Amino acid sequence: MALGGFANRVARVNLTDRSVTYEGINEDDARKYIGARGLGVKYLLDNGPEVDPLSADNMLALVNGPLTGTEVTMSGRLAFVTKSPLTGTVTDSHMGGWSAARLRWAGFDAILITGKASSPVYLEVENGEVEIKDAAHLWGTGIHDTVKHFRSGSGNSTDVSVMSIGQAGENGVLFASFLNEDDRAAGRGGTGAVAGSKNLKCVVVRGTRDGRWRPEQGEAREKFRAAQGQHLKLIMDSPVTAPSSPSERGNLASDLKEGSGALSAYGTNVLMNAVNAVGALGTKNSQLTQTDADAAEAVSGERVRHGGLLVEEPTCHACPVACKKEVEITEGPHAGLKMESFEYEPAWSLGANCGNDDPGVIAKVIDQCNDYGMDAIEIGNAISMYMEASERGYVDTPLDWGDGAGMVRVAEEIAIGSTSIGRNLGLGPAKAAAVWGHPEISMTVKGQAVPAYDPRGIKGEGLGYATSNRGACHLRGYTPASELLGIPVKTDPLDWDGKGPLLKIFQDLHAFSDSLDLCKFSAFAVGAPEYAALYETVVGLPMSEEDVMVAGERIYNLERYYNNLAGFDGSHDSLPERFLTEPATGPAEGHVCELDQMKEQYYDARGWDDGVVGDGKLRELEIVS
Amino acid sequence: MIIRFYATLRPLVGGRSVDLENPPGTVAEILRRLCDEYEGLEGQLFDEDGTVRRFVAIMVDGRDIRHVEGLHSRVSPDSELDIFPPVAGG
Repeated sequence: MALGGFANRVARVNLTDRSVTYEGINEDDARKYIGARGLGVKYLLDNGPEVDPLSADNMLALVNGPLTGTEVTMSGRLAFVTKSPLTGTVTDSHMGGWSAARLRWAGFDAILITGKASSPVYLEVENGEVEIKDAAHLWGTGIHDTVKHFRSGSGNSTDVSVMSIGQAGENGVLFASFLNEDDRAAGRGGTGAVAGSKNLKCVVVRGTRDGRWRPEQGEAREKFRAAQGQHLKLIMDSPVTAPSSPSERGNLASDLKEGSGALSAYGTNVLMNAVNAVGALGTKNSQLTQTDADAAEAVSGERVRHGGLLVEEPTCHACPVACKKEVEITEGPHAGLKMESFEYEPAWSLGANCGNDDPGVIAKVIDQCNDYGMDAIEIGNAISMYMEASERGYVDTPLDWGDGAGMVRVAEEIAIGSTSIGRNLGLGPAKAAAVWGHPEISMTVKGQAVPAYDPRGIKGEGLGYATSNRGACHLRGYTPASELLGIPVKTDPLDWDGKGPLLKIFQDLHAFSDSLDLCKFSAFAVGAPEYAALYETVVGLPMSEEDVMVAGERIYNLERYYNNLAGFDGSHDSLPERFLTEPATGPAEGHVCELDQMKEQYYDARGWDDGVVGDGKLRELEIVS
Repeated sequence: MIIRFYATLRPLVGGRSVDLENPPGTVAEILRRLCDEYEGLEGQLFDEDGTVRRFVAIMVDGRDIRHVEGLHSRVSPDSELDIFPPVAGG
């Protein structure tokens, strides 16, 4: 194995016969699919795209990238890749924190889990070995207590990472998540439900920096230093990511260092007011596209920082940006609650989308999601769909818009499955709305709920949701970088023309960075040239800017190929009818999302035939020979 | 006219919004008055050559002026103005 960065060790864990075998990285696959997301999807494809997601045959792959755990800035991401029980597509969901780095330091590029244990188990990973251990005593335990259990039993708790599911995954909630260290989630797609179906409670990793990759001395070291230096400089200088400075963090509420990037200072929730101002903030289950400015402000990043809620700004491995925002609720029924992290997506899904402007309720439900192990985007959409069903008289036990106590109660009912409403919503809003006979009130694509950008007010995201290979997702191709900010160029969020080719660029670039696996927020400061230089100096293979985009395109097409084999085609690249026919309100008033026109441009750019990758494209990208 | 500021611009103007009396007719004229009044604001909004800094978003009634007439965009007394520094997330 000549490729740098990799540990060249993969564990295959079969929970049915409790066997663990080890192998190296397939070099040809690593060259083509880079690592993490790309390599993970290749493992899934080889495992077969027709498996039942909740069967023993499905694979849950935890995969690092070649940069993971190095000193490269923002290299602390880990991909969970599986066939999603929520969507039926292949999915990958990434967590921050230190788990990815510790998994690499413990000697692994990937842990590939198949089978089903006869009773609850957990995996212990240390020094290049994986052990399957009994977890019966942990089944039924929340994630916070599971983490505490392992950390209290460890000599040096800072070297331990616990990636765990909660009760939601055990109970088959289809949008159950994995979390590490209490609050960093691989949130989307139901990875926790897959683990629960296998009787797998958690993965415990012990790894120290002694195990990290370092460049060889001499010229290779100098080249790596130059690439990393440039990468870091751009992140430190960016008006988005420039750190608000560790020395300032003792003074959270008021003054900010001059030049502080807004993402660092306010976290992702700095978007709340901006997206509302342009009229793209879905409100009351996306019946409206703008909420009252005071309601948005009440749960915004500015409110968190300047309104006395912010208490800490944790970060991830090798990241100076520190976008995580830990809050303490100071009033109301949830006073005293300290939790991380008050992010934009759940602040929207549980805020405007549910007619709620109480940050205490948002913090409480996010914390429930962190403990029960649930996707905070999906649960907000499930609750808002339930509220609309209530408003329209479709259910017997209604929940009113903005009923905070009711939201907290329903979140628990979903996780525990203690009521018929909770069990139904635990299927996800798409299936739940169908059960109630009203699929039109579910804001989902391929079964996964939409994030916090209404596609009538930011049209590129509409195309992004529709064509995402994992169901509705803002992160597959983050066109708001262009439509709101202006990266690489400013495009009009209300103009559909040209969004097809634009989206392809974002999708391909993000597929590459997700495979390195670097935090996607790096793309606000760096791009293909920096990714290429880092790959080249760590892995040791030539990589140009153009190569980056080709590799990203290959990975995106690999995912699409998997989905095609699993039965998906262009008819599934759709949006809820509401976005196509019900005009927006606010500044985007009168606009709908022109999906068909954008899809035509997009498929042309991709070279796909109605959402299907043809043999020619598969050969061109060397996915098949 | 109420002009709302966000994120890192708020400490510069001392709050969430500024009430501008007798607002002039274009975005450029309004920004000139604001920059004269609030120290440090000009450097956050403009490059040295007087163009609006890349990634700064100035919105009149929810429309980014980059998609209308830029700094020459007309503003009526009942318009709403929102000014954002570079903001992004996910």
